Amino acid sequence: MTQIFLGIGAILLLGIATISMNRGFEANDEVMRSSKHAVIATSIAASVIEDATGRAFDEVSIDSLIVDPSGLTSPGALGPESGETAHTPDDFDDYDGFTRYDTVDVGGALNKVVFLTSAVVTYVQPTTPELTSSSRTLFKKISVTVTSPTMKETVRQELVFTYFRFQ
Amino acid sequence: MGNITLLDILGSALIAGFLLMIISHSNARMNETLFTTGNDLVVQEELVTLVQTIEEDFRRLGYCRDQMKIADPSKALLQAGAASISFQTDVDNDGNVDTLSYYLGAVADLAVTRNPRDRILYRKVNGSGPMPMNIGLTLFDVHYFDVNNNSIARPVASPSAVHQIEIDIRLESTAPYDTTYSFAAWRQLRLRSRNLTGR
Repeated sequence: MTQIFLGIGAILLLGIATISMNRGFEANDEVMRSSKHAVIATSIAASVIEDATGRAFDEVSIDSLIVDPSGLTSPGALGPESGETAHTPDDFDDYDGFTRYDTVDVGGALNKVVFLTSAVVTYVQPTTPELTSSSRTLFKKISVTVTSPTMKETVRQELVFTYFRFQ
Repeated sequence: MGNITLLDILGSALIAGFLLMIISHSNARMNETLFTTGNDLVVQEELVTLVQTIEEDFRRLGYCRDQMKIADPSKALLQAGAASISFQTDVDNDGNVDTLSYYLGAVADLAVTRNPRDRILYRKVNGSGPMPMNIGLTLFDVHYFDVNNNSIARPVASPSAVHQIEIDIRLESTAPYDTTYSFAAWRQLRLRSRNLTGR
């Protein structure tokens, strides 16, 4: 009888060790899955920034040359103009308030994963690009954030866009 | 006494069965994790390397150190297909115009792997032999957009109308665990070549 109790004790010990090992595997899987999804999130953020930098710097610079920042869109009015949406942008700051859901086939057991992308555009000063400027400048910063329920971390990319024009 | 001995033997056998089952399950799980983790790592490394090369090349679309040699960047895109593209650039930044091509090989080119869908992406500079870029690529899909962000039908009849290029890439492991290729990576690139758009 003693041997049976010893055996049961051994099974319990092995069970505890196995559960611990399985937790390790699960944690490993989660990290790998999260990092794989972070690569996709990075590409989505980069695509939005790439798209934004292909636009005009400001609504007023689409057809005319800017010589004075005071003529630019006011900081409080950044975003799509009347009749536009963040999905029909014609200038850089139209991406302010941009949100989009992307469903991506990632393969594996999860198969389809949803990513939420959002963007904010602000004026910045060249000496302090990390801070939002309350005045108009020739520098605008786009901050793109991508989240997903399957990612542990939020992917965030920023880029400062400068007005320039070749004569 | 006899009954107790029999009970001991039966109990021991039962416990041994449980132990074997637990060890067997743990071993299978460990193998799966090792295999899939290794595959995932390889796929992600391949993807990052491939994307870096493509981004660097496509950024230089229409670029030449001697800018007079590509005086009209709108003509730098020579051929624009769904799984192939060819354009003028300056690969080694020596001031001479090069013709760079990317195209997807046939499935038969990579028959050596167990994945029936993977192909080789070839990169070809001028008249040199095509250079295989990677293994495990199952999708290389190029989309083209005009200045109004409208999609252009492929193959593009008039490459000079292309203003923006979007590339979908998918990599999978070359071998499955059991029968499932569970580790696919995907990435979408939307590239505006400064040289292409700056016209």
